[in-house]
Amino acid sequence: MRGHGRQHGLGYLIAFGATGVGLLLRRFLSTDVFGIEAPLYLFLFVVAASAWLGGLKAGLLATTLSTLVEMYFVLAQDGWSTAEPLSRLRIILVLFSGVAISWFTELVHRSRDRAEQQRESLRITLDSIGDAVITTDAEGRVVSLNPVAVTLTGWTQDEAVGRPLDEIFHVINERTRQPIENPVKKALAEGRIVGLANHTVLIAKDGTEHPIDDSAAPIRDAAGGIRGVVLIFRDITERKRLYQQLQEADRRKDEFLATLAHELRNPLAPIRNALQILRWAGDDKKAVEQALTVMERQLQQMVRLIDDLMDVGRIIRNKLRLRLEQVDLVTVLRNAVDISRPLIEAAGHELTVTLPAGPIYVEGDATRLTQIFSNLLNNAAKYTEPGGHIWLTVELEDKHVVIRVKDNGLGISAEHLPHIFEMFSQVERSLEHSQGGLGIGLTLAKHLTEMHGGTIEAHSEGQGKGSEFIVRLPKTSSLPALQPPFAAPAESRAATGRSKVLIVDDDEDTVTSMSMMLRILGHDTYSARDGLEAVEAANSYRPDIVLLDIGLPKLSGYEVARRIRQQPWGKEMTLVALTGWGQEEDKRRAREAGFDYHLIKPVEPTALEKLLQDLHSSSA
Amino acid sequence: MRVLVADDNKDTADTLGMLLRLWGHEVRVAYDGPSALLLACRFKPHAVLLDIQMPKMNGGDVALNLKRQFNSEKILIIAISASDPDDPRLTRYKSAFDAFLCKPCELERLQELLADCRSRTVSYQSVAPARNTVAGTAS
Repeated sequence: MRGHGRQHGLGYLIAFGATGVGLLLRRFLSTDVFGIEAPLYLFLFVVAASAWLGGLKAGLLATTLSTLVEMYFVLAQDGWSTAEPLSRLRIILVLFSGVAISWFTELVHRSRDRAEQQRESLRITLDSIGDAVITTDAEGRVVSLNPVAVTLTGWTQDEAVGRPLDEIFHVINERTRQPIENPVKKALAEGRIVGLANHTVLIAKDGTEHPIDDSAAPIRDAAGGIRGVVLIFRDITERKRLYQQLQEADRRKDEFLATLAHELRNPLAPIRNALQILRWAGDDKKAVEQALTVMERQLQQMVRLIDDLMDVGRIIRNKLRLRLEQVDLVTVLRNAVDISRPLIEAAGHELTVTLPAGPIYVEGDATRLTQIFSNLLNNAAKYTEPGGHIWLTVELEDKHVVIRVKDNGLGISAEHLPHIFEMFSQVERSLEHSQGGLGIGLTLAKHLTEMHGGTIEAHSEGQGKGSEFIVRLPKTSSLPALQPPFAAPAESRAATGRSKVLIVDDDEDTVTSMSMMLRILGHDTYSARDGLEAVEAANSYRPDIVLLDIGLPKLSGYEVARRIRQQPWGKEMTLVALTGWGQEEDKRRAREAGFDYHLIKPVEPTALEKLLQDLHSSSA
Repeated sequence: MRVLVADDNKDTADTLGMLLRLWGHEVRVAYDGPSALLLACRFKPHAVLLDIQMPKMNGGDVALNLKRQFNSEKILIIAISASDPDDPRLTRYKSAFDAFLCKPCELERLQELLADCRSRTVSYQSVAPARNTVAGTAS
């Protein structure tokens, strides 16, 4: 059963009722009034009413009943065979006309249903579209609005229909606040699809504004005449917000690049000055000493910057890895304080550290944990006016250790607070308050804390009211496990008073400086510039130790190590890999290639000295 | 020549100061903007080498103040900065500097500029052309 209002039960009831009424009328109406055909009219009316109201089946039922009734009358008077031919014809007529009327009525019903279905499906479709749709007639008067259009314009369908579109679709330019020409008029006038200008704001009936994006297209009939316009528009608040976010990220990236250039240039200035001093100082020992100290300090500064940069790269690529072990947080915090102390003291800040007496164990990467807290302490030192106060406190909660780094410094405005941990965000960028650094310290601190399963929060009452950073780390109850040794123990080696060291690097300056350093330390050195030369030199020079760069021309450092290890004379040599990457993966590859040790460039002179000493004592 | 150096990076300021002394100049060093200005009043330098990003008062403002206080013809003011010279924040200070050197600055260039300045302070006749060449490099 398709059409509404027609139901089987009701249809049949109507058929019975109508036939009953017909029967009564036929019984009591004088045939004088209608003539002999009266029953025919009556029954046709009965069938038509039943079919219209009750559908095809009701019509057919009424036809059947009417035929039976007519037959009854005919048969009651005469037998079928003795009946007048006209009466017989009447019965047949009733039957056929009834079927025909029922069928035609059904056809009308069906086409009416189809049209209604199409209208309904169009309505449902328009109602379901996420965009607002308004249709108008050829005069630009509103014909329909879908629910989104109702929401955006604030006009209901009933209020809007029949009004000129201008009244309900009020658009202005976002910047000039001047009304914009209604796109529907243009679409009607020009007969083509009209897209709207940028920065359009729709003003709703109640005055609320939505940035929108729209287009108007003429509706054409089969002959190509314009019947109206369909206007489609959508709220682009969210898209605009995303676009602004992107722009902001792009701006911050540009600023970061400028800051990066600035921060990398800065330490270079004193290094160049110091180099010139070395050239000019002559015998002035004090000047030379001072120049060297400066160079070392500023070089360290650059290495730190580049380390931070590499960490940022790792975070972005999600490649940062932790070496988890049981770590005493108190030791970590002491180390962090040691790292940040020069900066804190330089600014004349007072530092109050409150630590528990015993160790607190957490599962973590000691280096990375130290980095979190030294970053927070450095931050406090930088963003506090000289002579300020910094507090570092540790509290134990049920399952967490809570570390607070608090200062009475510049504070953070409510506007900046939500973005403080975002990459490259620096609160102040004026020429007077540039605090140096890349604006990634807090980002690193946040990522590292989260990688340790902890949380970090920033609090500040506002500008000039100091800030507080709170780190929560999960506590572990288990006892610390023994640390695995850094590398395999050194192989025994003939004790000679000093070592023969082969230095392999394609960078001339690295080779020269390392040779100088090792000679000063009392060792013999020999050098090679590429992989093949290195293998030959190892054979002819037979060093105790080979310092091998990994990225070498001709043969990689890994390959050189493998070839040396294959030789009978190469089994006992100590092979040290020098690389710019301190990744676990690099260390593993180095071990597999036959290296005993792995050092990260630039090699700390003290680290190299210690390594050589260790080798000596283990071989002695 | 009397040369005043100002940079909030102590290492940079000190090493530049040492170098200038080795070159035979009389040098004073300041680590922020206001101290640079105060020192300049007492020291009356022939040349001032200013970092731009400094706490309290930036190098640009120091330069503008110096140009107002001193006979601007007689004092050579050089910016030595790690900032991009095209940074829009620096535009308003451009006129206050006779030259802009990027960190790490070419020390030969610095020597040339100072030598130019010395010749000007010795012979006032040559002031105008010398200044033009210096100012030309600043833009």
